[in-house]
Amino acid sequence: MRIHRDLLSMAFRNLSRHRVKTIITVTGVAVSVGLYIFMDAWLLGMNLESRRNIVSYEIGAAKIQRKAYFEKKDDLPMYESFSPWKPIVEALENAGYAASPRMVFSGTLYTADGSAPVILYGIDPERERKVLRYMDFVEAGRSPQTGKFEIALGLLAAEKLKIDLKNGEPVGVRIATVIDLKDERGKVRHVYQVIDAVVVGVINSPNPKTNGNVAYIPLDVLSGEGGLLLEDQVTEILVRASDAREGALPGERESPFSIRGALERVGFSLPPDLEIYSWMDYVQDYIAAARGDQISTRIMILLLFILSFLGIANTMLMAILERTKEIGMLRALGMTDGEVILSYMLEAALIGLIGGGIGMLLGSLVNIPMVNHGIDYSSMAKEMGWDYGYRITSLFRSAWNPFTIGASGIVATLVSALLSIPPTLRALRMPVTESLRFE
Amino acid sequence: MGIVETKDLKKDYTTNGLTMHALAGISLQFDAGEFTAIAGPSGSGKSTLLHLIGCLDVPTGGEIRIEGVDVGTLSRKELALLRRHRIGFIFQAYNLIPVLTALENVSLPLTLLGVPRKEAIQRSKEALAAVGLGDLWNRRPKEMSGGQQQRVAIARALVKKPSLVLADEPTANLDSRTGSEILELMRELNQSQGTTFLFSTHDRMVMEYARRLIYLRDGRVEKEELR
Repeated sequence: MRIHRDLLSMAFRNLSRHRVKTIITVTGVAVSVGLYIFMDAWLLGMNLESRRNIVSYEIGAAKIQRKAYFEKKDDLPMYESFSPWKPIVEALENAGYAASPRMVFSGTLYTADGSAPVILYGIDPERERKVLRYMDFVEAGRSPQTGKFEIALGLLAAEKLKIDLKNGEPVGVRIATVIDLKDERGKVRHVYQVIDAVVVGVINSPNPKTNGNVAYIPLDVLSGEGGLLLEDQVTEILVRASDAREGALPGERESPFSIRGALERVGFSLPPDLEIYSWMDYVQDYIAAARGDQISTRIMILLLFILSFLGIANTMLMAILERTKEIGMLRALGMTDGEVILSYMLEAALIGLIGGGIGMLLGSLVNIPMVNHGIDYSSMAKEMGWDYGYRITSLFRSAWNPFTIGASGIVATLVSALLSIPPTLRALRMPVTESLRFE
Repeated sequence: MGIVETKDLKKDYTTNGLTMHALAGISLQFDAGEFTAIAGPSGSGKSTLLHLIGCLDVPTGGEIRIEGVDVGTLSRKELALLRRHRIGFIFQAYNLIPVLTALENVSLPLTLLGVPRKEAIQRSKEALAAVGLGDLWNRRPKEMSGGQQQRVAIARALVKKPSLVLADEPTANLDSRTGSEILELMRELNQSQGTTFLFSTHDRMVMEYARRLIYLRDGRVEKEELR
């Protein structure tokens, strides 16, 4: 072991032979590692926040839908709704879950000042509150009440329709929609319907999907003749564990498999045409955006790493070339090939370790304000209509990722060490006498 | 049996398709405690012979035995270990490691041998004292004169008490006064420690110090003298 300690000491001192070159190489590694830690933490923060916001404001942990509806879900096929929903919701509640029935359909909202296409959610306000939290973010006015033709609008829709509840009374709107119904032979019929309602609230929650061109209206009023003529029909039931912590991602108990098992334990079997789907099955836009960002960031960081590792490779190549004679002398003294390789690996590893260490420190220091305060992109995000996949409206915060912080330093050290092997092997192929004569 | 025996030792170098016979069949025996100079003009094969005996190069033909071991049968690692345990080298250009102090340079062979640190420091200090550099142990090579650096190189070669020390033109880079001092030192150590010294030279003054003188010419032994 003593030889390793002495080789390490020698490697450390060898770094001081060309201080400027060593400092430049170390800086390259430090910047790469620091940037990687920063970018990873930022992406992780955005992903964590997005996931939390999807679960807390948009979907819950799972949805129950008809299989036929799920396959065409992007078309909002109202004719694939199901009934009755109450026994399912009650069974879920008995099994320890909060459940919220919904009827989702599209329509156009008209006011005296204009119109806007919207997606409308028929909801049971009391049950919806137990699953999702967007009702806590009614920016102006209040949330709609059961039994009344009242709607809460997303902020974008309200702005488009020039509805400002802060300065005035609730505003009357007309909803024009097409009701799709299936007859006994399975043929889809279209019925045009107009619903009059009053806008009582504007929603601006941390999830942009709740603040867009959307409207929330009590489900019970939709069932009747003044609504959608769909007696007791819903298109989906949102599910969340009744004791789920605020901001927590769904646990194992909230997986479709566990929910089905819990329903069976309370003696309820889901009808065969219904299926429980995970929240992940509904956020392809977010997954695509996150994956795209991850890939592009990784490519960028990989290029940076390649550049800094080329710097290390060059430094080691020059060091080994310059010390060919010294290698010959060490071999003449009786150093084996393995020991010579080890001595140069230690030297290169030290560059990686020092650079990686500084990078870890820099990345972590930058992370502190990014985790605690983040960057406010609210105006830019709103300008884009909040349509960029991530479910964040304003503050883009980072999140700590100890694994990445530790691993990036370790990888920098190991890769640096490995980069010294090819030039050392090349030097070792030279006969000792030739090494000794090398100038 | 000698400490080193060579039998019909040959070494060829081929450059641009031309083969040069650096050694054309040398058979010699060196006994323990010898203080021998290998002399001859440039290109006579002195350095090549020392390098082959030191297992730094591989012969084209013939045999070398060191303490009875045929080195031609050894692997790269075994050759490295043979050099580590049995042979000390002194080079014309000193070849000290610039980032290490004199003491650290001298203790390097002991480190390779796994000698405990405390003992290695003690022995290295003694070796430096033996070459007259007891006070300069903390200096780095660039802070020393050529003569002092060569003394450090001698201390490094001797500190592990090898059975054989090979010195390739050890005084070629030194002025004649320093060169004489170095040779005196080598002779003293040869007598006091019984270490076998083989050194190459083409300097007549250096030859005067040798008790056995071997003349090489064109890769062959031209003559031998015993003093």
